[in-house]
Formats: sequence, C-alpha cells, structure tokens
Amino acid sequence: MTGLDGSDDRPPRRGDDRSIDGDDRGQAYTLEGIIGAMILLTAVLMALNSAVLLPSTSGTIDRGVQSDVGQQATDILRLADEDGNLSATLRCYDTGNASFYGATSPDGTYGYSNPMNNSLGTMLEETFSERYNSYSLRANYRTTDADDVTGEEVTIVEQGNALRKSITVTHTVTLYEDQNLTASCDGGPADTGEGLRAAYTGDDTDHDRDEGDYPIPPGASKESEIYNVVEVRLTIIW
Amino acid sequence: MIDTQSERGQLILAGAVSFALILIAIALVFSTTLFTASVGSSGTVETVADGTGTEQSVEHTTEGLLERVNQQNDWLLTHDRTFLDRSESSATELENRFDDNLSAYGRQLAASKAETGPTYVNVSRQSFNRGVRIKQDSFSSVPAVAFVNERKLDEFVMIVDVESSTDTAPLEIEISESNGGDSTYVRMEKNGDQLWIDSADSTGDLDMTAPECRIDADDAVVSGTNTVYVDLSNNFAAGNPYDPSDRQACPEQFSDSLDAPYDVAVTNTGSLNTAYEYTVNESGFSLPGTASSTDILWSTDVGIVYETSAVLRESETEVSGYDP
Repeated sequence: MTGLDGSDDRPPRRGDDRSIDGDDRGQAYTLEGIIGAMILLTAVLMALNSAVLLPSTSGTIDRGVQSDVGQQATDILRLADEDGNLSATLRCYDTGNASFYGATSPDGTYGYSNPMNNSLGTMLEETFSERYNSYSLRANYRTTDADDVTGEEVTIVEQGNALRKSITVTHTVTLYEDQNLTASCDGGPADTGEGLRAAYTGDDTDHDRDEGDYPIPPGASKESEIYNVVEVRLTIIW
Repeated sequence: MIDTQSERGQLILAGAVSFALILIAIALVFSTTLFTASVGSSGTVETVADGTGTEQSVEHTTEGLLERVNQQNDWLLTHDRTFLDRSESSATELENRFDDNLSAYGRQLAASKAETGPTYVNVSRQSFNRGVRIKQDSFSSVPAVAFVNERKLDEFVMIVDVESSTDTAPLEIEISESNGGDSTYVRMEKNGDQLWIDSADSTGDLDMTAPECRIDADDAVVSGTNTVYVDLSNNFAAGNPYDPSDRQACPEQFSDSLDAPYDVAVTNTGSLNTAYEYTVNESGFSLPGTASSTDILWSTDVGIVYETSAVLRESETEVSGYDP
C-alpha cells in the first residue's frame, strides 16, 4: 500500500526495521484509542453511578416541601403536648357512642367535615386543611407486657391515605392512671369523671370496642402511675 | 500536508482524553453534591429532631411523675382536708416510688421507639433534690412571721374558714423578690359570707371597698364549714375549687409578675381562721410556730440516651415538679 506521498503506510511487519516514528505509528494509534475509550467508558460509568435514585428523582416529591411540612407537623405535635392538648385528644372518647367526642364518621373517627374542636384541631385545620392538604392522626400503643413490641393502633383522624407526597412525624405522650376521659375536644367538660382503666373494660370485666369501651389499654401495672405510653403519628398528605 | 493530518489525529485524541477527564471531574463533583444535598444530612437532621422530641416527652413525663409521687404528701393542694387520716411518706419512700415509675416509663418508651425503627432509648435517674412541704393543718390565725426567705416557693394555697372567722381585721401577706426587686401584697378579709381579696404592688393601692374578687364561701372542701380556697401560686380563688367555673382569677399578680427566689412575710395577721400549705426547694430551716413539714422531691436530674445508626445523643437535664 502506497501513500499519497509514495511512502508505505502499511503497519510494520515483524522483522521490519522501520522505526516507531514511521510505520509503528498505527499500533500507537490503536493503543491510544483503546486507552481513550477506556477513559471515556469509565467517565460514563461514573456519571451514571452518580445519579442517585431517590423518591424525588421522578420530580414528584420536593425534598424541600417535604422537610417544611414535616417541621410544621412536628411543631404542632410538640405545642399540643406542651399545653396538654395531645393527651386530652387521646382521652377525648365518648364511651356512650363508641367514638371520639364530636366525631361523626361511622367508625368513630374524625374526618374532613368535623375536625376536633380544640387547639390541636385548630392548628391542624389552619396549617394543613385550609391549604388543601389532608392528614391522619393515629395513636400507637403497647399492651400490658412492655417487652412485647408488637403495638396496636387506633385511628383518631382519617382524611385519606397516600403512598406518595406524604410524611409521618411522631411524638410520644404518657397517659397516667389518675387521668380521666374528657369531652373538651367537642366543647364539653374537661373531666367526665371516667377513669381510663375503668373505661377500657366498661361495665363488665372484658374489653369490647363495640360496646364503646375506651380503645387504649393499660400498658403498665395498676400500682404504677403510668397508664400507657402512646406514640402519636401524624401523617400529612399534600 | 500529511504530517498535519497525522498531528490532528493526535490532537483529537488528546482532546478526547481531556474531555473524558473533565467528565470524570464533573461526575465526582455531582456525585458528592447529590449525596450531600439529598442523602447525607437529611436523615440525620430528621433523627436529631426525633431525638429532641423524645427528650421533650421524657422531661414532660418526669415532671408529671414527680407531681404524682409528691401527691402522697399533698393535702390542701389536692383540696383534701382529710389529711389527718393519711400517712405521710418519707423522702426515701418517695424516691423509691419515683424510681419504680421512671423504670416502667423507660421500658415502655424503649419498646415504643424500638418498634418505630432501630432506635435505642434509655432513661435513668441520676440524682434527687429534696424539698419540704410546710403546712398549718388546723384553722387558726396566721402568725406574723416570715414564711420563707430567699427560696423558691410553689403551690402556696390557703383555705380560709369564713364561717368561724371574724371580720374585724384583714390578713395581709407580702411576697417579694429576694434580690430586692418587686413585691406583691395580698389582702383578704371576711365580709358576710364572702371572702374579699385584693392584690397590688404597693399597700397604698390595696382597696377593699372595690376588691379584685368577692368569693362566696362554700362547704365543698370541708364539709359543714363554709370555706374559701385561695391558690396564690396559680392565681385563683373559689368556694368550690372542684368546679372550674366557680374559680375566679384572684389574686392577679403573684406568680405572673415575680421571679423566684422569694421572701414571704405576713405583715398583718388579721382575724381569719386559715389553714395553709406551701412547698420550698430546701429543707432544714426553722418553721413558723404553728407549722409542720414533710418531705417532697423538688427536682431530679434525668439522663437520656437516644441512639440510632446515624445519631447518638446523650443528655442530662434537671426536671422539677414545681415551677415557681
């Protein structure tokens, strides 16, 4: 093969004494090409690996919004705990109607149309409902054996479920043996005179939700001042 | 011409290598940024927030437990005038009861947190600070002595037996900040079946012709005797303290306007038959002549450990069952 200038452009053959500056250049090109390709492939591989897949990758969840909503929900739970409203909400149960006081949903929980009539309900309403967000409020508790970590849950407010665009925050509240049920979340008396332990079993010795018995069981012995330690879970859906 | 083409190939190759190196650099930078912004700190921040929330719950519960354990030695505060039939608990008994309750709470809290996620929580009592509850448990006039000097004071309640009192002279109490700051004066006197109460920041402003409140005596606290319950620490008085609607904001100034520690003195003994009770944060001082004392747990230091895979928080905080 002859080049335009009449030189031999073929790769050097074994035993050929042409120097690398001449016919060996083809091998050098090949080698450089392979090295360049490897570097490019490495770069592409690293670039692809750097794209961390997160819930926000699809763009449907804004981490900033999620963080803000979570902080608002956390603040509301802490404020409600500070003024005793969180505890009162957990105890605002009408054993006569097997529902939380003022709740009109068939399962005895609050919904969209009838939020709790106390400061916790007001804060949730003004912070979330008025911005077309919905929320649910649940109480997670344990039974008498504290070593049994299989807790159960009672729903207080249910405004919907969502797998995406939601965040759940929690706060722990202690209920005491000497506390009574209250009707304050529906404008009623702050103390109905019904003790928690007595309300849990009602008129008989057995617990039966259908008979209107208080849903949260005692979690400690009767001699303790503690009735139960309840984890309140507030889920915001936006 | 041919040499130029050959060198261009090398130039393109060198350019490609440079481009690849730049891509690697960008990939590294973006990788770090994405991790920092989206993954690195957010989980830790949320965990720390949960840790502070847990500490708030522990402090709140510790306060509640102290109040309830101390109630064994409460009488007037719980509107209970049957205290003479009740047995008092020693400080050691109160401490043991508190420890048992805190242990029960700690177990339940740990179980609750363990269920939510891989979180370890431990609550432990470090130390106690004892105080005393001082009481005059029979109705008589209040001696003209200093109740408490340079100490924290809380749950200062009085029950005035209006029926057996005479309306000849008012009872007057001065509560002042121990550092020489502001004072509040409270004056009470019988008027028919009522107890009239007025408070002001100087004696000259006390006006019993138009007092802050006029409370009808009731037999709610002591059956068969018309009494008025006056809670100086929570600023309310009532004939029937069990009925929140019967409570009047009276006196208005003590706990809202003054900062502990206090000096408290009876500046005019008056002629009201009164039983009283209050708590202070120390013990071992001489009592007013007709008073006696019993132990209370004023405060406790509680240690809290909150640990997740990302965060370890250890804190120790002093929690008081009283808030002077």
